[in-house]
Amino acid sequence: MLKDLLRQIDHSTRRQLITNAAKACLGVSVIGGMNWANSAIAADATAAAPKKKNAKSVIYIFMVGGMSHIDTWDPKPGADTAGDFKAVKTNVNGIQVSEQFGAIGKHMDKMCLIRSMTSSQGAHERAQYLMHTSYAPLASVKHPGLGPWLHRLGGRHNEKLPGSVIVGGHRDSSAGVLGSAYEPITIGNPAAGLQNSKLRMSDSDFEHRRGLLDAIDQNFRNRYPQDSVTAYTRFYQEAVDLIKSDDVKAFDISQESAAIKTAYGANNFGMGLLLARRLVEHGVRYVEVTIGGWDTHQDNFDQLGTKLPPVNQGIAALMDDLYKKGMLNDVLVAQASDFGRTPKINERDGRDHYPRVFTTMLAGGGVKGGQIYGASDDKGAAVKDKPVTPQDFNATIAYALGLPHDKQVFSKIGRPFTLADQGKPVTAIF
Amino acid sequence: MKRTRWTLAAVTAGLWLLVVTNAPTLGNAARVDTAPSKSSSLNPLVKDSAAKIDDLVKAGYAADKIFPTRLTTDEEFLRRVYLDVIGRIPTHDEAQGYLASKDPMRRQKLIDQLLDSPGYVSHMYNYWADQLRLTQRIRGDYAGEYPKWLKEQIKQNTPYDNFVYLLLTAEGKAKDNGAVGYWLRDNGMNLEITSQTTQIFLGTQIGCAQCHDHPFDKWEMKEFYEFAAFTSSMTTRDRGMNSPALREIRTKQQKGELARDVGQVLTNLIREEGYKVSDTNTRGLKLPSDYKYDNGKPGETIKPRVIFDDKSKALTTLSDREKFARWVTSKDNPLFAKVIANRMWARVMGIGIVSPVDDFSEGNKPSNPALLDYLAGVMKKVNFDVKEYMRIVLNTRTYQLATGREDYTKDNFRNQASVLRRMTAEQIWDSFGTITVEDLDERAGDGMAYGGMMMMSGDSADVDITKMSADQLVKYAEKLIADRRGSMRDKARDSVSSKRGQYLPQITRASEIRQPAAPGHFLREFGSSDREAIGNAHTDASVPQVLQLVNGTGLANLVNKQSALMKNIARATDDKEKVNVLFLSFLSRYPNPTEMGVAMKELKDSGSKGIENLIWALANTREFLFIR
Repeated sequence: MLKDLLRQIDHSTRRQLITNAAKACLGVSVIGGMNWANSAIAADATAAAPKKKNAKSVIYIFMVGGMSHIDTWDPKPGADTAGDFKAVKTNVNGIQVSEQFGAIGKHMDKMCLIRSMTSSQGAHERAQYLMHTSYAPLASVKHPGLGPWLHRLGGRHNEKLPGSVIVGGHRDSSAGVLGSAYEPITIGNPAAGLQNSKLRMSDSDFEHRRGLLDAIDQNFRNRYPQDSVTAYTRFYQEAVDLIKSDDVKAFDISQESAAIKTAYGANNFGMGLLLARRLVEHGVRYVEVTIGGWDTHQDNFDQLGTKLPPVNQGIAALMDDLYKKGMLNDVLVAQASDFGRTPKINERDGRDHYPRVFTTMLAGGGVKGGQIYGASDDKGAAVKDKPVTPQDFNATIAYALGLPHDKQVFSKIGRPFTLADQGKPVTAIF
Repeated sequence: MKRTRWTLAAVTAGLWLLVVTNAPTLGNAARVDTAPSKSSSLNPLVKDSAAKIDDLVKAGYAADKIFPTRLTTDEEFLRRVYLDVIGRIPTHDEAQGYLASKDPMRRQKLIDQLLDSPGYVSHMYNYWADQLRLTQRIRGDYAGEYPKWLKEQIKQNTPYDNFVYLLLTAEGKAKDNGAVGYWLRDNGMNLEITSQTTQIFLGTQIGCAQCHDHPFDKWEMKEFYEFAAFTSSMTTRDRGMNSPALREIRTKQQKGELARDVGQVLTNLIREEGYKVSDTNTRGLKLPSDYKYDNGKPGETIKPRVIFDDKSKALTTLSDREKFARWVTSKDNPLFAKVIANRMWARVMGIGIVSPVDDFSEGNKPSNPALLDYLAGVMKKVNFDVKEYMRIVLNTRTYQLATGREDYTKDNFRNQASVLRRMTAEQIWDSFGTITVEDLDERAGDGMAYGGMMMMSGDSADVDITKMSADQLVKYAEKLIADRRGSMRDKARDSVSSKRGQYLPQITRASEIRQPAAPGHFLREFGSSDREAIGNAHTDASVPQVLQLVNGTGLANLVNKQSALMKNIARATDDKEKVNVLFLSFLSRYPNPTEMGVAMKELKDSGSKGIENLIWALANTREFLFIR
């Protein structure tokens, strides 16, 4: 771990190491990199009790719009709130999930369900913001998303690749007060990969053009040696290195076999998960895959009937793939949503927003599989046991990576922020 | 927040602090000009104020043994003033025309001309849209006339104090008054709007005091609440909006009895009808239940009081919001004029006299207090006519000096000359647009980009859907849909068929594009604001930006035979002239002899590919990205 390394080596080497790492990375301005170096030195060991082994990366799956908990992870067979879907057995005795998650259920031995999630926010924007940042929205400040936080606290494993990647995109994942150095790269279409990373010309034409560019721009660069100018000159080199490096292939899912693509599912979500696996495999610390369409105020069961199968297939394939590749110890898979949905089925056959209780999933990364943490009541209407807040959930993710969820980072005006606000990690699940 | 990032610069800056900023010039060194603003035909107020500013700047740096740089060349001035005033580089013809002019008044005339051109509106709009966090979707699907309203104020050059007053006192529905967008943007979060208002217009960050006494500044939590109480009667919900017909529509919709598009239109209409800014909330503002200080009790109702220099008590006949707006925008307010004067100064000089521009506090002193006081005085003297103020600043010798080689920070900058700046994302976008299409400034964006139904019903603000029957509502929605289809057909015909076979993708100014652009969009990659936090735009370099320039699709538009650039090249009679066209189009200057040599050789060696190679190279220069 970078952090452990940092503790061992002396001050100046440490500083140099981080600065170099930051400079070499995608999307990192040198100025931001320096900032980061300075505060990383100030980092103190405030993390909760250490674990034996830390996860390296996170694949965070976010259901935009509020996914029903009762119809997926927390079925209530027999209750008047049960809805249309049956509960089915999983490969762990005594744990049932919705029949819609049957394929995922075959990997329950690798997963932990937190069925006692509870949030204070019942409107989409505020709820998504809270889940992503651990804070309620403020007009004057954009709190950083989880990816930029983990990047900031733990640095990068691969200097050629970005610290965090958002597949599909989510505004709340942005770097906010941490600055553009930590801004995630967004991939709109997983099948298309990283924008503009493939040369549109032959290598020799490219070299020729770079020669022309150099000749024309030389005067200006000599005349203006400012950091803002030299940063570009350096990033041109980085970009050229990236274009020509093997690491750029991390973004290219066409390198995967047809069989594995079929397993994940030939849709944006499946391909997003596959891309996520490739990226963490190449050392990206945080990859978020978003999928929308969960705001099922009407026709909940019809809508979920088409919405859930690709999710069932994709997450099952991801579990299988990570397991077979032996990556599950290093990769934490998390799944979350804005909130749950009302146990009561409304007159339009829909379910409405429900932050009071819902379920999230964690797998791999040192989390013990085959367990349920906390519980909702018989109707899925309230937390029965061990409530977990969005802040706690985020603290748990940081804990899995061995990163300090309570380390203060200061904004330009000296205002302190932490990854999990007042949240506490759920250490019992490890 | 990403307003100013000078951290590394601060480290190296010390080295440069006392270095004389006189460096060799680039390009055509021969065309160094005579002093600009000495002409008698300049309006005396502009002339005298500009001269006084120059004196104050000099007095400010004399003590630090800083010497002024030379005056900009015409080429340098031309490009800088275009970018600073209208947000794009000059076209080939504009550059050629200006550089050929021998008129001793050409700088002043150019400033006047640019200040009155449509590009001024576009560029100023981008600035305020970033500060106001303006989005074209407010509260989910709700869309307002706010962007249109903002552009209109800039176009009319509404005095700034009046502009702010209109925002702060706005009431009604968005279709009748776009200014209510200011309140709808943070719908229901009156405390947030208070801290935002203070930050934007008074340059004071009191947000911390929302939850606790400010740790570094003097503000107490109770003061924050007293201040916020001015807006506590403001509400955005129109509760009288629930006619039987509208309820019937909702039922029909739920039963799936309405066509999808009709249902959508009606949903939006109903939603926009549901928002109305008014001062009808009588609950008052109470201290929170966990209030922990001695000067108030949890749950206590708070009376409005301003945070400094309270003169609002005298205004007894006005509503609380009007009192608040009067006090904020008053010439007596100790910060209002200073903040806008400093903002507009920072926009063209690169660094504010107070920097960051929205952090006027005890711990962040102005670099030249006398200059700031004078500029605030000028702002008041011109009665908050921002355009006139800009005219004065642009006519100073200080603005027209060449930029130095230093990494300036707020700590070593003495306002001695405009600093080297990377263009904003919008300036880069608009500058590529300038090279690509001939009529960029006349191109309107897709009207629908402003968010749908509001634009469609915009012509009929007198229509009251709460008085319609369900049948009338459906017919009305169908008519709106038909109208929209018609206007889109017209638009398509205008833009394509009249120039058959000459189609270039719909390239418009960034200010005409739906914002915030999606993550990954060119504008966002180059740092345009996500409009989530105040002043969230940035100009930092990144690898994805370089990938855009190296491999992006923009090049295909530039080399399209119908691009403005290629047409100008086609008109050139020989290679030398072609090279001149290329340099004027991208860099607003003629090539120096070495560059001419390199380019001529390329055209000779690479044949038809030579032009494209040179275009790629010029588009990838640092010189293109920066304002010097």
